[in-house]
Amino acid sequence: MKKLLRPYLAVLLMGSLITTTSCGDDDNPAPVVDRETITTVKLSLEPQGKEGTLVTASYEDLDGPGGNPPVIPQLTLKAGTTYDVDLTILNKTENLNSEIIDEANDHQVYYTSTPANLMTVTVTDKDSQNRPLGLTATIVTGNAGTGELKVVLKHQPGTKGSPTAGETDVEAKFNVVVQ
Amino acid sequence: MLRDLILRKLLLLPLLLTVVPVVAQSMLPHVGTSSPVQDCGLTISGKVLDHDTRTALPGATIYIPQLDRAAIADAYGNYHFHHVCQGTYTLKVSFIGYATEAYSYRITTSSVRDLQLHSDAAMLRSVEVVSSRLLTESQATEVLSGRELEQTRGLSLGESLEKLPGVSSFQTGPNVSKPVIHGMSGSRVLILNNGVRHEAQQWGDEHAPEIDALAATELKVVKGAAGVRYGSDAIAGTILVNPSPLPDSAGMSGNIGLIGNTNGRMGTIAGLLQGRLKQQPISWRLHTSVKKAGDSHTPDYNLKNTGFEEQNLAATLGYNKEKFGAEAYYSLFHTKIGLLSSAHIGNTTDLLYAIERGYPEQTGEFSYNIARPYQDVNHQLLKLKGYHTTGNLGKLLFTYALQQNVRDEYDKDASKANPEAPELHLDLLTHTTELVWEHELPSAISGSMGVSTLWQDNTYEGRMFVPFYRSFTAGAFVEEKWRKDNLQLEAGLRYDYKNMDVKRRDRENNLQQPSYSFHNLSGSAGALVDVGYHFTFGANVSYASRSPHANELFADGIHHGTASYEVGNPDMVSEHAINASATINYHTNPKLNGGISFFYNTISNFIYLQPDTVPELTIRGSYLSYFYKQADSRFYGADLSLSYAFTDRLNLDTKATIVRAYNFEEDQYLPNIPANRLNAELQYELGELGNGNFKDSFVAIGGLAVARQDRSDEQTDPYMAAPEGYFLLQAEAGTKIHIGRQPVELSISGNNLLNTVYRDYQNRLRFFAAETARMLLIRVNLPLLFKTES
Repeated sequence: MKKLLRPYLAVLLMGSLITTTSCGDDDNPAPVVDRETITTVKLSLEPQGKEGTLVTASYEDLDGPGGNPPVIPQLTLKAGTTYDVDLTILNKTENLNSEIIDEANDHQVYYTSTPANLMTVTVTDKDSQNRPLGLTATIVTGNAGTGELKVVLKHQPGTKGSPTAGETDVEAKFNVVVQ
Repeated sequence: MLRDLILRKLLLLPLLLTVVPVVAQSMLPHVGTSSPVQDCGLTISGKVLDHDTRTALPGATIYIPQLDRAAIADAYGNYHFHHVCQGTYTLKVSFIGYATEAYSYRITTSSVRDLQLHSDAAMLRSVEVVSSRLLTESQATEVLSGRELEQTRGLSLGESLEKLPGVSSFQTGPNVSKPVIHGMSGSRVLILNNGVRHEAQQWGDEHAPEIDALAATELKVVKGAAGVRYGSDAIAGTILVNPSPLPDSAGMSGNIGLIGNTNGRMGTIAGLLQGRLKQQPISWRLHTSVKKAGDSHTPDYNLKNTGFEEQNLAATLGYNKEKFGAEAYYSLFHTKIGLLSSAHIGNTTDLLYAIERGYPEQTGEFSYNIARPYQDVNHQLLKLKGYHTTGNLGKLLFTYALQQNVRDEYDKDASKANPEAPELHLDLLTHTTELVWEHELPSAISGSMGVSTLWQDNTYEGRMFVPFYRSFTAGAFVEEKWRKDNLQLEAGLRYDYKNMDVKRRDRENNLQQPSYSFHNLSGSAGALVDVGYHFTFGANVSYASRSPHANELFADGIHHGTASYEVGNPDMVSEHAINASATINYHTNPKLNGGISFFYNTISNFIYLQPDTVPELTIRGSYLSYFYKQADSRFYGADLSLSYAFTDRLNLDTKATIVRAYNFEEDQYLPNIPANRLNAELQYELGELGNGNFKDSFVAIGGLAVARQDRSDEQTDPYMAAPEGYFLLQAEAGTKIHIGRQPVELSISGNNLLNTVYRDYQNRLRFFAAETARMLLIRVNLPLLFKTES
């Protein structure tokens, strides 16, 4: 029995030798590199004819999924006012808008206001086929009130046009106070 | 890099296949005599027994009409036929006071066949027993072989095993299916591929076993905890994928198989060549198969990006002397599987839209193209085995195996920085060794004892789903059977030590290196009683433990197929299962045969994914959060199989499976438990047709009925209630013809013949698309017999 065990141990040792030499102990998982993740959705609202009085708010998830959840920011707007909207999609500080514009035919931003009469959102920019894109828009506020503005960026290759189609790239929420 | 290398090797494969036989042929000694066409050195032997008392029947006569030879059983009931050629033979057994019986066997190697006679003198009609279901183990076991296995050729391993009672499969679209035994799958189901523990990323629901089902001639399932022999984690059961033994008579033979599937326009070609040298006890075998399929379709639409391809190669070389022998085996498996493109979604809102829509957003036209998202998986296995007999008492076996599993997963959208790279790359290296003494002692005791080790190294690149880990497991076991008269008692015990060193990055990119060690004990005890009157009873109680997998400890990421966020728990402990089963078999009867087995499995600290009530909020919206939890759970149910022979040509086969599973700690249903299933098939043997031009012809019609999984609720399925039950019509036919001297086996199997639109609870993509439409599998099989050069 002992004699027969010897080759067993030899092969076992050989096996572990091969593996320990083939991958040394200093192999560590590579640090997670930031991929093209979106961390920030920034809204800038400028009331028409009143340059300089900019209203901005950012929906941010800097540590990505699984960490701290994003905090829902607040937009305070004036009743009965028309605002020019600029939407900026960021990876930390890197502006990703140009990438979305490059693929404008596959993307669209959908704005949803709850309640619906809180404001009216109209997308002003177009893709090459004259369909809405949504990185710029106008917002016309209604009467004073509170509610929510949802901003959804959809990736819709070949299916552009309906908010239910495609894959969601961004879904950001803003609490809105119209006063 | 590695993939390129393997592909290049695969390209060499046809070349190899043509070269090797030539080499082997030239290695054959050229004997100057006109030797017979095929090998005729086989022996058929065995015992003639009284079926009910199991006593030997000395003096019984055995007659083989095909050879016109007869033998008389000796004082111990033993009989022998020597110098028999390969072929199908009828053994007519007769003895005074017993009904004469005829057993048909296909003899390809020297075989031992015990023949049983019934003392019922009134029963004079001869009975042809095609297959008998004699129990040899107290645990419930099922075997898929012979024609039943042939009828699954062209399906994946998981789909083939669904034929067996108690076994279902967990699917991700049409091409990924994982076997499920009694409601459990993944790392709780151990697969032994050619005797080696298959080690891959089994934890993943969308990771199908990397095994070529076409290389197997027998699929055996041991249901219930089988931890003692194969390692403690086999809580649900063990699947043995066995190729046929290497040829033991000189000469060369082969087989070419062609398979086509109308749904997905799949084409498969498989080739087998095997032989044995004349002067050296050296046998060899080469097996290869190549599969290519395009998009599958449902009755209403195309399933975009559901094509797949697969290439396999296996080579075996054996050296067998009477007292010792060795075997080397190498296999390579490569697959590329497209995943339904519309099943990749952004968040739960998208998922709800997909469910509401009721069909995939993009259907497209049929294509063989495989685009993102897809998986590309390579699995290599090298096995070295040796044995030496230990006197007359048994033999000592040593097995070493090296496995490398490389899994690349490509997301729907390529990374801009590195568009060619997979988003997830997993590399698992496994060394296993096993030293076993199989013995048969004179005191009616037989069994095996041994030690085994398993060493693993797992690394990844890209997204973190399982961390880096190195683990070492060492185990020792003993398993003995005692058999006397009609009673068999079994007992076994195993101890495993497992150590696991983990390396992972936390959210701040700091390196963490936790270590784990686990001590797992397994045991089993069973009894098998042959009570006569064709009844056998088996009962078994087994205990097994499974250590939590690295995935269950450290999962932390998004699953885009179901818009879920999975979180592990680093503080988990081993789960312990106590499995009780009872089996009754009613066998070797002229008309009614069957078996029923009951199981009752109590698992403490059962690990599963539980949907959280609070969704995970991200920049892409909300994801349903799942966390790995442990709870005391219970699985119980029954498997039934019945067959009834109306005439010696018409036979009805029925199989039913019932599984119940609960988390009894919190009184909840467990998710993803298979629904009740019933399968029935009516077969008619046509025998010889058209003046003997068509042989072994048969037709069969049957159906599969699957009930709705009513034991599910908002807690198990928060998005979509379990789909309705369904019925599928199936049919089969086959025959054997000769074109010149070449035998050609033809068969066809049809599934979902009524083009039923249905969804299956066990399919992860049920939210997005219906199941596949009608499919016809067409098979052409050419057995090759080579003349020995003279």
